[in-house]
Order: sequence, then C-alpha cells, then structure tokens
Amino acid sequence: MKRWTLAVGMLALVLSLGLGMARTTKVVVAGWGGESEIAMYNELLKKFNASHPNIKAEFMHIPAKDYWTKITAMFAAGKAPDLFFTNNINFPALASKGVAAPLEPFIEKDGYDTGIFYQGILNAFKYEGRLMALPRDISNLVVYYNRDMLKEAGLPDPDPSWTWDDFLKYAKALTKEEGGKRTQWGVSFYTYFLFWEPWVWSNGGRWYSPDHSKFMLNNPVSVEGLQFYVDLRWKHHVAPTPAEAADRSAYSLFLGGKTGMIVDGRWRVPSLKKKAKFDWDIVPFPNGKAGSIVDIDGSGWAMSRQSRHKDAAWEVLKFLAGPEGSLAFTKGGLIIPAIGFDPKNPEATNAILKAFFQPPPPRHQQYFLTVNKTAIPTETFERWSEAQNLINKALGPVWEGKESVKSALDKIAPQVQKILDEVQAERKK
Amino acid sequence: MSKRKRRIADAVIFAVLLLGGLTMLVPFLWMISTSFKEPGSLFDLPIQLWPEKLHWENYQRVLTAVPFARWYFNSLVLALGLTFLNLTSGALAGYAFARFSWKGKDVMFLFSLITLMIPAHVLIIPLFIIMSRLGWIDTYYALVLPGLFDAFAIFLMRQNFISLPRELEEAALIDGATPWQIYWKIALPLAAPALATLGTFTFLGGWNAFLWPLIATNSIEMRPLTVGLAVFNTQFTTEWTVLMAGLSLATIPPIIVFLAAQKYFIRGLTLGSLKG
Repeated sequence: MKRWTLAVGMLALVLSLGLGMARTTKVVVAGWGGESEIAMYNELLKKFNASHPNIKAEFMHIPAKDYWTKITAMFAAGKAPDLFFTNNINFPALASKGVAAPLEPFIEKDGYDTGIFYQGILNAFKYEGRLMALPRDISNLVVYYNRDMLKEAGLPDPDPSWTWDDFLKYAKALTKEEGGKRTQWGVSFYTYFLFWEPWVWSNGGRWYSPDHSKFMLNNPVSVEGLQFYVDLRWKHHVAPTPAEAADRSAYSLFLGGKTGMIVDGRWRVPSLKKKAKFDWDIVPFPNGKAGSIVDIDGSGWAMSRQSRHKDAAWEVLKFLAGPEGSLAFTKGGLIIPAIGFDPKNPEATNAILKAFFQPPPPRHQQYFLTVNKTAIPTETFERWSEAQNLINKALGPVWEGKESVKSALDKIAPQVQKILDEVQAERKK
Repeated sequence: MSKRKRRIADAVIFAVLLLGGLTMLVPFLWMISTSFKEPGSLFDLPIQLWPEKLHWENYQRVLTAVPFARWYFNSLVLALGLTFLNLTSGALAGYAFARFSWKGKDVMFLFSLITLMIPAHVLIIPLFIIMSRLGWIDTYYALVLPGLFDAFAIFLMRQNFISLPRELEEAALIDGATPWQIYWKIALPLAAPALATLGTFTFLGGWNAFLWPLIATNSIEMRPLTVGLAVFNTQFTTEWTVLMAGLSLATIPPIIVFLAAQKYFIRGLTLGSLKG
C-alpha cells in the first residue's frame, strides 16, 4: 500500500516537472554594457517574464572587449544565445556567415509594424535585402557650437537650413590670429571616418554603389566633398593642424573653448553639460549640394539561426525593441531611441520622446531626432573592415596636408575594387 | 683614485636603479591616486597628482554595485587552483623527464615543447567546444582545468631536476628508498626555489587571465576580477576612478604572493650566480 502511494506520488512529481519544463522556454539575450545597463536589462526581462509565464528570458552580459570572440566561440560550439546585441557596422561580416535568422517570417506572421522605427536604422540592419535585427538606438551627428564665441564674433545662431558656404563663413569668423599664430579655430577636426562621411554624402557622393559592386569614394562628387573638409584645415586654416592641436583631441579643443564648432554625437551631451564653461547649442549638419546627410548608425538585437525557441525569442525581441524596452533604455539617458513618433501609437511613442528630452542645454535637442529623416547608415559590407583599412592608410598623408584626396584614393582604388569583386563572386555562390 | 671611481660608478648605478624603480612605481601610485579622485575628474587640467579630498565613494561603489567579493573569490580559486595543478603536474612530469628513461621519451618531450608554439587564441574555440560538450561552461572546472598541464612548467622543472646532483638520489636509492620517496623527500625539497618561481608565475598568470575566463563563463557571478571589472569599461565611457579602486584592491594578492615567494627565488638566483 505504502509503496503504491509512493509510486503514484513519484509519477505525479515527474509528470508535473515534465509539464512544467515543457511550458517554460528559456531565451538567452546576449549583450554588452556597463552595470547600469545590466540593471536595465534585468529589470526589463523580469517584467517580461512576469507577463509571459511560459517564457523565461535571461540576460547574458559579455564585456564589450572581446564580445565578438565570445559570440563566435558560442556559435562554433552550437551554443549561441537566442538573441544577441550587435551594431550595424560589424553586422554584415557576421551575417554573411549565416548566423542570424531573417525576421520577415515573424513580422508577417504577427502582422508586426516596423513603421515605429526610423527607416534609416532599419536599412542599416538589412542583409541581402532581409531585415536581420530590430534596432534599439541610433548614433548620428550634429554640429555643436559655442554660443558665447558666436556672440563675440557677432554671428547669430545658425539656421538649420544653413549651407556649406555659411559654415565656412562662420568658421572663418571664429578663427583668431595673434602675432602670426592662430589661437582659436572655427571648427575641430576629426580624422576618424564616422565624423567625415557626412561631407561625402551631403555633396551627393557615396563610398560604394548600393550593391557594393563599385568603389565610388574616388568619384569626382565624393572627392569634392571630402576635399572641402580637408581644405578647412589646409586651405582655409579654420581647423587646427596636427601641430597646432598638439596632442589635444578634437573634443578637448572644443570643450576648452579653443574651437567654435565641432561635428559630433549625442554622447557628448552629459560631458558638455557638466564641464562646458560656455553657453552651447546644436544645429544640423550644413546643407551641401545633396542636402544635409549625416550617418545613422546604431545597435539592436538579432536572432540567431541556431536558436531552438525562435517563436519565444521573437516575443522577447519585440518587447526589448518595442516601446516599453525603448522607454527604459531612453530614460537612463543612454541612447537616442530608434523609435520615432508614430501616429498609430501616439501615447507610447510620445512617452519615449518625453523621456529623451531632458532639461537643456542644448536648447534644440529635437535636431538629434530630425536629422534621422535624411540620415543614411555607414556603407558596410562583408569585408568592409579590410577596405576601410586601405582607405584609412591612404588618407594618412591627406590629413597631414601632403597629398590631395583624389590622388590618395585613386592609388588604392584598384585594391578596394578587387575586394568588392571578390565579395560579389562570393555572394553569387 | 680607484675609490673615487667606484663611488662614481655606484652613483651611476643608483641613479639608473632609482629611475628604473620610479618607472615601476609611478603607474602603481597613479592607480592608487586615481582610485581616490572625484569620479569624472581624472582628465581635469592641471593634472592632480594627489586628490585634495579622498573620495572613498569609488571603493564603496566597487564593493556594492557589483559582486566584488565573489569575483575576488573566483580569482583566488582560479589562480590558486592553477598554481596547485601546475606545480603538481609540472614537477611530476619534469622529474620523470629528467630522471627516468623510456622508449620515445625524447619525442614526448619534444611534443610537449611544441605546444608552447601554438598561440592561445587558436585554441580558444576548440577548447570552448570541448568544455561545452562536457557541460562545464560557467563552472570552476572550465575555468581551471584547461590549465592542468603546461609545457613551460614541465620544461622549467625538468631543467631544474637535471641540474640537481644525482649523487644525493643515488645515495637514497642505496639506502633502499623507493622512487616515490626519492622524489618526495629528496628531489622536491631541493627544487623549492624553482617551485616558488613557477608558482609565482602561474599565480600571476591565473590572476591576470582575461580571455579564457571571459569565454568560459556566462553568468556574472562566475567571473574572475579581470572580466568582472570590465563592466566599468563600456563602449563610450570608462569609469576610471571606480575601476582603479577595484584594481587597487585586486593587486593585494599578487603582492602577498611575491613577498612570500621572494626569498626563495632570490636565493635561487644567487645560488646560480655563485656557482658560475
């Protein structure tokens, strides 16, 4: 009798355990971030788990340093996380290995509306025409300017419709010379590509043809745009030369009141708020021949093809990238949300915008969002970093004023084109 | 005259040593001074060598915002476990290579040396696959056991045992000692300086390891300090003051190990030089 009850009890226990296990699906989300960001993830996923009793979502933190090594190892071992955080610049190289699952089937099945995200950032996460990730945040560029310095030079706040000529005029007026030595410059000078690609695009140029089959950075329009930027330093002398900057970074020159303007990202706001000893504001990048086009890059979550619980992973993905997740990350002051105002979801999207707008400065924070309408992502592809290394190397003498943009880029054009040809051949396979 | 010459020579040597000592010490002092600075003030100009007010909140934050004690414990498990395993396996294998002979011994020794030439990065992914098949990922096994055998440890111990006088061991053999007794009671105590040196190296190696512990652990709780503290170093910003507070606390065990082992390996060094 006793043994019999025990057997029934055991059976019931095993059954209930089995059922319980079948009911909760574990979804692992991998990402990088500081400890405040880890806390945001944990809190968000706790909320998700509470409202989805049959899914258990977990955050796996991987430090940004060596993030990709660890992700690669996990994929190689067949133990990839169900969702993984990625930026759009590293993404094509990864996607070409077939590790990410296209999201269209889930979007169609669900009737999910991707219209809440800015189109530019969605495009940044497309690989071979298919959407591979839902975006979380955006990084773009605006012009920061020192209002006190403008006032002193008798210049009004620049209008968002300003042109490259206006920009040059401002830069010239802000440059000061004393005893044959420049002591103040119109604009800080970055040589890192993210900061100067707007000069190429806004002039109507491109780096590559849209299908990445042709190198176009050495085309006349592209070269003209970049040369305009280089001329700020070497022809008009409104940006400090390396010798003049003397180891001071582009940003520290602006922060120290040595330059009047800088083309930079949203991440400078906390530091400027705390440390700038002058009044400052932002304005969109000046209009070239093709308008004002800055880069819209960013990060988001992709679903791994190895995931055994794709439907559950999709639910988690929607939640993290959707209004609730976006609001949590935006509130922390961490990001520019990838979700803009959506007339179909006025309440939820408005809450995100409200969280984004913190007390000024800058007075014109909306420009961080309005520039997204025309912005385009950095033109990356599978072997982008190889081509980028060639370009960076070639431009070295250009930044030092020793070579023209045209001659430097023409020299490496055949090598870059060879990489592109190989990429095309690889894709056809 | 020669006395004066020697004095000048001494002065030069002291100046060089002092300069060398300072270059070693300055980064260390800078770390400690940074750990007491106001968060975010590190790059203020003019440079502050020492903060006017000690900001203990960096320490408070590193001790409370993250599972610092657990990370510390994990680092100790990793470094001590690795040291223990390496000393054991290195001494045993080294002794065998030094004193016994068997068919294929030289080939085996050669192969163990060849493993030194394989870069660690190449091994990471196969090792991760093995560990995850064993189900050891995110456990102490995966953290420590891949370092069980190290060709460098075997090599170092072998060279050391070869240099010991054979006569002592032969005398013990005549007295009827077993090979194990000879190893344990005669050879190993004589190898103390080498063991101290190897132990210090291995401990430091384990204490500073970053890439493998990062790959081998998934949860925040299983990380050693190196990987854990990386949380203060994010994509756009690094919380230098908090990071340095954590690092200042993290340098204590290696210093203790060094001080404890120092008398052995300095003796080892001087013994060698006297002989020469």
